[in-house]
This record gives sequence, structure tokens and C-alpha cells, in this order.
Amino acid sequence: MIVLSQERTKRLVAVHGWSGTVLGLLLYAVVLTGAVAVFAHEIGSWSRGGDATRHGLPSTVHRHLEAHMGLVDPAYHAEVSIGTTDAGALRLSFQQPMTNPESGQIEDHAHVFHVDPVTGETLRHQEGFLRALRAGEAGAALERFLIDLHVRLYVPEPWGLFLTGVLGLAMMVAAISGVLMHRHLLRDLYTAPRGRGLLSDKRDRHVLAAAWGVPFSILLAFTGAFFSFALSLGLPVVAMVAFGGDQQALIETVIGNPEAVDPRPAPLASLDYVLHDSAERAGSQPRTVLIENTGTASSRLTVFHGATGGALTGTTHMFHGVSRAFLGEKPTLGTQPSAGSAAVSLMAPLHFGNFAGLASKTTWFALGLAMAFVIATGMQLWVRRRQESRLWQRFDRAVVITLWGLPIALLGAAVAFFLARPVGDPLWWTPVGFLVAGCGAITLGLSPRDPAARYRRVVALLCIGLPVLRHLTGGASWSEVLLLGQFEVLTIDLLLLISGSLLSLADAPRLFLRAGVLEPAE
Amino acid sequence: MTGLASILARAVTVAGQAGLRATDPKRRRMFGLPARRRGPLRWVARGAVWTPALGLIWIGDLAALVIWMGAATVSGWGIACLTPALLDRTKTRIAEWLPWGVLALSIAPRRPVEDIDARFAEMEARLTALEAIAKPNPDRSEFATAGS
Repeated sequence: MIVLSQERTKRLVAVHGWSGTVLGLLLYAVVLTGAVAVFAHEIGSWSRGGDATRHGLPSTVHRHLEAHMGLVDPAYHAEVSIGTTDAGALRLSFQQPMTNPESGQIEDHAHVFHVDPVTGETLRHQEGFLRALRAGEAGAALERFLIDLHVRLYVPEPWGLFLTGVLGLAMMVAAISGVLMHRHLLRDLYTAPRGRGLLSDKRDRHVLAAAWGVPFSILLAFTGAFFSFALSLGLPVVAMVAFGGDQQALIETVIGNPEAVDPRPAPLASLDYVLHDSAERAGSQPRTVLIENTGTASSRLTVFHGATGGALTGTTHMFHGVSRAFLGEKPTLGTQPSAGSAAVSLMAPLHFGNFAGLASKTTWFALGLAMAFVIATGMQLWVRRRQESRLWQRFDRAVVITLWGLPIALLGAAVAFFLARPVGDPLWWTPVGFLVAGCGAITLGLSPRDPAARYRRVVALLCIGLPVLRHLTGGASWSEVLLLGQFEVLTIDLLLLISGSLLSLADAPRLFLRAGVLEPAE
Repeated sequence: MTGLASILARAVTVAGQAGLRATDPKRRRMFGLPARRRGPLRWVARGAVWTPALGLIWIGDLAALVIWMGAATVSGWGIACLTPALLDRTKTRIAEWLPWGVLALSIAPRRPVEDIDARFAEMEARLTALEAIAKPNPDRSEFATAGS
């Protein structure tokens, strides 16, 4: 129990309330989209009609790599990245740094080949700056949109990252001040609202969810703020303070100095042997491989593995590109293992919850929803205590519009994606669909009557309509996805249909609120 | 390993949390439930909540441990949200939906059924008393006031 003076408690309540309310609507947007974005890849796969099952890199990588090396200028052999595509093809990317005339910055310019892993046939060849190539993948429009909305609220860089970083800090302030001002946090862990419709019920509901979720609220807010600020602010500031503004020197210190290039030509070691060796050491199949200075005596291979065997992070192995000698494990930061490197490598799995497949993702999704619930009930509680003021009455309506409007807008983005997929450009139409649906939700919420029932019907309609629309616009049928083992498509379709059906039963919650059954306390 | 260990750990923890909810003194006071005598059940429940974490640390399954932490947070919240009234209504509903009488009887709430006759009798008595008070007055009837 934390004992504070009355004056200090009052101040903490003010800090807690204002930190949550001023940025509350945006915080709710970031948290809810974050919860959905946990399944961004699965949603992307669903929107594409299912991805091929990945089994790691094929055992024929070396042959396909050699066959395609001759198709590009040797300058592009400086860096070769090997992975797989969502459709299960082998992805070979030959790249070299070049100044992008559009941005004026040095970026990787690449020749990207999608190769049939069995026959070695080139399925697709693209040339351009990697960032532009990735952004131009129409099939990933919905997935990218969700991630962009969560990461930077669709505000241009770097301001979007600053904004979400500040929101993460606001969340931390609210969570910590909540712990300090709530005296009986542990004692109240099982204190449920009594369902009398009073203000105290709203408070109990907020406190109960917040009390249970506080460790993860702080963890997710901290890791989120770290990701927002690390590149947008942290890197330039550290470079300025410690390296006189030389970001390249900072990167070399953090990542490790690149070895001097020995330009003498030398054949590349058998990739298949190296991948097999690396898989045995890591206990899992490699996900991607990076080859530096390909075809020279100083060639080096870096092999990346995902997390396995109860670990939170994956492993990265380094091999000599000519002698295929194992050079050791590569830490995330620096060249030697360190506590800082371990801490940084934990940030991603703890924020994204992607370290153990669906089990961890489902848990992180539920935690995200719980956080969104805490923010929503917190804002409602703050407003109800001030409902005499016209300003707060308007804010109350803004809260209702945002709580319902955001799910409607997200579903609207998915509708636009499916409508635009066969006829137009989903990359452009997906955010437009979000805006249009969002504007519709705002209009619906401006009427004087309580809009919750109408919102519920709209969400239900969109949830039920999306699987149908997906199928009508050329998506795979359930029998097709079952035959191909693409269970994401079926699962998301079913989840949408069930959610829509439950919401469409307007009095579904009343199944449990029958008249005549009194609360024991009453 | 992560999957199996994680599911087992969560199941034991949920059972422990349910035990803690059932024996929580403040919660029982709030919902007007009779106080329980101090006994080993609360300690057993505490053990059930925390033992899985120790087990996961023992086997070194860090991923399962972190999933357990997140899942315990969500399940704890969900279990705490279940009020006695909501539980009773849920049980009644499930019992109504289930076609098997024996199972339905086994999960149907007992508390409201036990004193149902007494409650009906009390409500009827109150209704009679209210009817006696609110006998229609011909001078103040709806028709008379509507015309005035």
C-alpha cells in the first residue's frame, strides 16, 4: 500500500486524468490499431487470399543464386539478400547503395527476382529502390496500412514517430500515476463492479482492468516509445552528442566496423552447406541470408534464424563466404555479446508478441484490447465526472464517436481494399476507404440521439459483409483455402462472421441481463 | 514444448485465480456473500497461481513464461469481472440451452432456487399491500383528469 498525502493524491489524479484525456483519443487509436496489427501478417495473408506455407529456404538456393548472379551488373553483388516471398517463391535481391534522386538520400537500389524454388524459373523481376519496391506491393496494402496507422498514425515521418513516441510516454505516465494514487491495488484485484449503473461502477470497471494490466501497459508503452524515438530522435541525438553528428561513425560503433574489402575474386562457398550447418547450430531453419561482397575473397554470410526452443529472440550466425568457416554468433548491437544488446533484442518480441506464433500473438492481442478498454473507460469516467460542462459533454460525444468510429473506419479500409483490388489501386484506396468510413462514422455520431445502437449495426453489417465481399472480389473460396491449408483465411472469415452475428443480435448482452434476477447486494 | 507447457500453466493459473476470487474477503463482503472461515483453500489457490511460473522458470522456457504472464493478466481480469449474479445468469442460460437434464441440473444455480418460494411469497405480500394503498379513486381516475 502506498500512502500519499491528500494534496499529493489530488495532484496525481490530475496528472493521471489529464495525461490520459488530452491524448486519450489518439492513444486509443494507437493501442487499438496495435492490437489489430499484432495479426497484421495474418490479415495480410487473408486479404491476399492465403499465403503459401513457409518451410524455410529451399535446399537449392546455391544453384538458383548462381544462375541469377550473371543477370545483373557485378556492382549489385555488393550485397545479396535471400529470403522467401508470401507466395512461397525464393526471393533474391541484388543490391548496392545509391543516391535516390527523389529523396536525396543514399538508399539500396536493387534487382529483385522471385524464383520458383523447384524449377528455378524466374517468376518476376523488379528493379528500383528497395523502399519504393516494398511500398508498391499492392497485395500488402491492407497489412501496410494497419502497421503505418499504428506506427505513425499516418502522419509523415518523422512527426508521426514523434507523436506515437509521446503517446507511449503519456501511457506510461498514466499507468505509473495510476499505481501511485491507487492505494489498495493488490487488495482490489478481485473487486468487480456491482452493476448498479452508478459512477462507482465505471470507476471499478476502469480500476479493475487497469490494475490487472498495469505491468504490460508499462511494458508495451515503454517498448513502443523506444521504437518511435530510437530512430527518429535517439540516433541523431546520440550521434550529435557522442560522435559530433557523424551518424555513420555511430552506426559503425553500434553495428560493428565493416571489414576492409579484399577485391580479389574468389568463388562463393556452398550456400547449401552453410545453411545446413547454420540450421544444425540454431535448431531451426534459416529465414533469410545476407551475403556481403559476393564473389570476392572477403565475402561474408550472415544467416538469420527465428526464435525457437522457448527463446524470445532468434539467432544470427556469421560464416566466411569463401572458406565457409563459422565466425560466431552476431549480437544485435556491437560485435561482442553485451547486456545492452540483449536488452535491445528483447524490445521487439516484447512489443510485437511474435516470438511463439499464434499463442503469443493471441495473448498480445488480448492485452492490447484490455489496454484499449482501460483507456476508453478512463476517458468516459473523466468525462462523466464533469458532465455539467458543455465542453465536456461535447468531448463525451467525441469519445463515443472515436470508440466506435475507429473499428468502423478500419473495416471500411478493408472494404476499400477488396473493392479496389480487381479494378484499381488498393495502395491508394485503402487509406481513402478508412477516411470515408471514418467520416461516415463521425456524421452518424453527430445526431442528437445516442448513436451506439446504430454504430453496433454498422459494425455488424461490415463484419458480416467483409468475408462475402472478399469472396465476390476474387478471393479464394473456403474449399480452396482448406485444400491448400491456408487456415488464416478461414479463421478470419469465421471470426468476422461470428462477431457480426453477435453484434447484430441487438440485445445479445441482455441474454445475461434478465429482469427479475436481483444482484445479491441489492 | 512452449505450446504444451504454456497451456498447462495457464490452466492451473486460471483455476488458482478462480479460487482466489471465490475466497477474496473484500469481494465477498461487497456482494453480500457469507464470510468464509480462514482455511488452506486460499493458500492452495495462491500456490496454483504462482507454481506454473516457477515450473516454467525451472524448465527454462522463457517464451512460455512470458506468454503465461500475459495470459494470467487477461484471465485474472476476466475472472474478476465475473460477478456472482452474472455467473448465476450464465449458468441458468447454459442450463436452459443444454438438452441433457442431468448436466443441466448439475450446473444450474442453486442459490436462487432454494429460496424461490419464500421470495415469491414475500413479493405477493408486497404486491397485495401496494394494491391496497393504490385503490382506484373514482374522482381522480384517468378519465376524470383527462377531461378536466
